[in-house]
Parts: sequence; structure tokens; C-alpha cells
Amino acid sequence: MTKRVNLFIIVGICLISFLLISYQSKGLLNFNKLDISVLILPFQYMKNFFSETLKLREENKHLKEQLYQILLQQKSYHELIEENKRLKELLNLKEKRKEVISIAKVIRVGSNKFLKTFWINKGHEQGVKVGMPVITLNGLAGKIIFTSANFSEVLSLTDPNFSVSVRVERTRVEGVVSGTGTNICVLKYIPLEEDIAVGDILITSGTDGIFPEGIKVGVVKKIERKKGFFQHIEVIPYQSETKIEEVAIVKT
Amino acid sequence: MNFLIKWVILTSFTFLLEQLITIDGITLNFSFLLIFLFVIHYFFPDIEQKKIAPSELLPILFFLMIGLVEDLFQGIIGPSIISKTITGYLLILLIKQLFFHWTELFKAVIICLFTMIDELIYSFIMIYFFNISVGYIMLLKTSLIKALVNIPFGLILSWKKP
Repeated sequence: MTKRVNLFIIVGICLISFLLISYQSKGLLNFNKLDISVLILPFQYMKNFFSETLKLREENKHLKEQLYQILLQQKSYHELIEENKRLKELLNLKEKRKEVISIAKVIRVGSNKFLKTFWINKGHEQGVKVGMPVITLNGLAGKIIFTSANFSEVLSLTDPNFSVSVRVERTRVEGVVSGTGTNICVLKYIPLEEDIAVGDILITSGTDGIFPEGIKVGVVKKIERKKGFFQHIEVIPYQSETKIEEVAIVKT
Repeated sequence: MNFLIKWVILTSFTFLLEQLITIDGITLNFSFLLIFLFVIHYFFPDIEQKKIAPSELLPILFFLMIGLVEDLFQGIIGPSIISKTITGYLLILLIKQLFFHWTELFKAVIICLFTMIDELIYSFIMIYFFNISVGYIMLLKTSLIKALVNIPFGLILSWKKP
């Protein structure tokens, strides 16, 4: 008798849960994520402290070397920028501005069970909104999928649920880059006859209305021309997801 | 009261760890360990407090609570409640079969197997209802990693029990 009652309770729990899930999947019901970033932050800092101290010393040395090189190059770049501006004005080209909303620090890897995510220390109080692109100095890193007051969760470029429309810099062919769940992404919808070579650079095309044009995404690593309509192309993202420390949130 | 405080602290600590620790981007499933420990401690209490036939209602409520907390962290209520309740109840059914000899190896197999069951139930619900794209081999791999990580923790925490 008791066993039957227990079974009845379990079936009841499952039915109510399924009902809740189906309402949530259709978007009729939404629950806010429990965000304990504030609680976790001190532990995370402790965890990162030792590794970061060692890393910082090495990075400082490396940055100093880079700074000297950049100072040398700066002068010639300035001239090039000025020349470019003059030429654009001549062509009446309106440069699309990519407005950076905020610079944020990556505080921890995401705790989402399915999605490859990471958390940053800027939220909707700093103007961050869901859907905004996230970039690094290397290239595209992901997009915002959840925001709280001072923290946001970013869906990584390598997640299978992430897609971005791209353009091959050399040939201007357009396709879609999607994550695979590994460190490699795939470039989809490139017809068999299109000219793609290993080493081709992919940049965002801006046609998806989410990501601004011209952000570096990745480099073509491997091409397979199998049967069917499209080529199978593997892409190495410019920004490795394990090495993200600081990001910029961009307004589309 | 002591029993309640002990489990509240243990649960909070476990979820904190679950949020903190990842292996190569894979979040871990320490919450199943809570279920395993609760079932072990509840159905195999110390000799002085031994009950003749402990009720299954309290463990079921515990599974429900653990599932609910985990779902709150994910922002979707339901999948973990189902997976934790079903896995927990299956564990109770197994524990009640008196012919099993609870060696450390047997416990390790149980922890590994039931963590995978929990993960797979959760994953299939998410894939079916939310169309989340995830490769099945990848899913098995991550479930196996979570299950293997749970084994040493489970064995240490349930040392010499039952």
C-alpha cells in the first residue's frame, strides 16, 4: 500500500514537472536563474590568485616587449589611418561604428549543464543586454545569453547552439560558422564549387543582424569535399575559449 | 533538528562546489552524491537508531528539493526534479534488495551507473523539449566523466557504510 502511494507521488511529481517544462519550452512560463556569482566570487578569486600571479609576471615581460614593437609601428599606422580616412571620405563611405558598451573581466566558467558558457563581471546595470556580441582583442568570443544586475553569462563561440554569419576575407563568400562543442568550429553552407583554401580568414558579415561586420572569427583548418551540396570545413576560432580573460561587449 | 541543519549545510556546500569546479568546461554532478549519501544514511543508519522499516516519503521529498535547487541554478524548472526523483527512487529500490553485498567496488559501480542515469534522463528531457543541439557521443562522454569523478568522492563520503 505504502509502495503504491510512493509511486503515485513520484508519478505526480513527474507529471507536474513535465507540465512546467512544456510551458517553459513554449515560452509561456519563465523562471529567473538563481545567480550566486556574488557568493562564488571570493572563492573564485582565491582559486585564480596563485595561477594568475605566475602568469602575470610572464605576461608583463611579454607585454613590455610588445609595447616597444608597437611604439615603433605606431607612427606608420597613424599615417595609414589618416590616408584611409581621406580615401573613404573621397568615396563617401560611411564607416559603421561599433560601439563598445563595456569592458568586462571573465570571472568563471559557466555552470550551465549543456551550454559552453562563461561569466563576466558586467550586467544590465552597465548596459549589457541579452543577445549582445562579445569580442576580445583576438576576435569574436560569443554572445550574451543571460544578464543579472552586475553579471552576465556568455555563450561561447564553440558551443553547438552558437551560429554566426561570416564572410571569407579573400573570396567574399558567405557562410555560417557554428560551434561543435569541441575547440573546433564548422563553416556551413559553402557550395562545392566555391574557392576555399586552408588558412582563409573568416570575418563576421553582419548579415545576421546580431554581430557587427568585420570581426575576426577564425581560420580555415581543414576542407573536405564530400557528396552533397556543401563542403565540410573545419575552422579554428581566433579566440580560444580557455584563454579568455577580458572581453568587450559590443552594441549591434 | 541536527539532522536538518547537517543536510542544509552539506547541500549548500555541494552546490557551491558544483558551481565552482569544472573540468575542461564540463560542470560536475555532485548533487547526485547528495542523493546517494542521503539514501545510504537513511536506510542504513547507525545501529542505535536503526528503524525497522523507514518511510520512503522523506527521501522522495529530499530528491525533489535537490532537483528543484539544481533547476533554479539552470533557470529551467523540471528536468532535474524528474531526473533526481527517478534516479533516487531507483536507488531506494536497489538498496532494499537485501541480497546485494555492499562492497566498495559495488558502491563505485552504483555511483557511476546512477550518475549516468541521472545525467541521461536530464539530457534527454532538455534535448526533447528545448531542441538543444548536442552530439550523442559527446553527451555519453561528459556523462561518463561526471560519473567517474563522482566515484572517489562518493566512496570517501560513504566510507564503511553500509
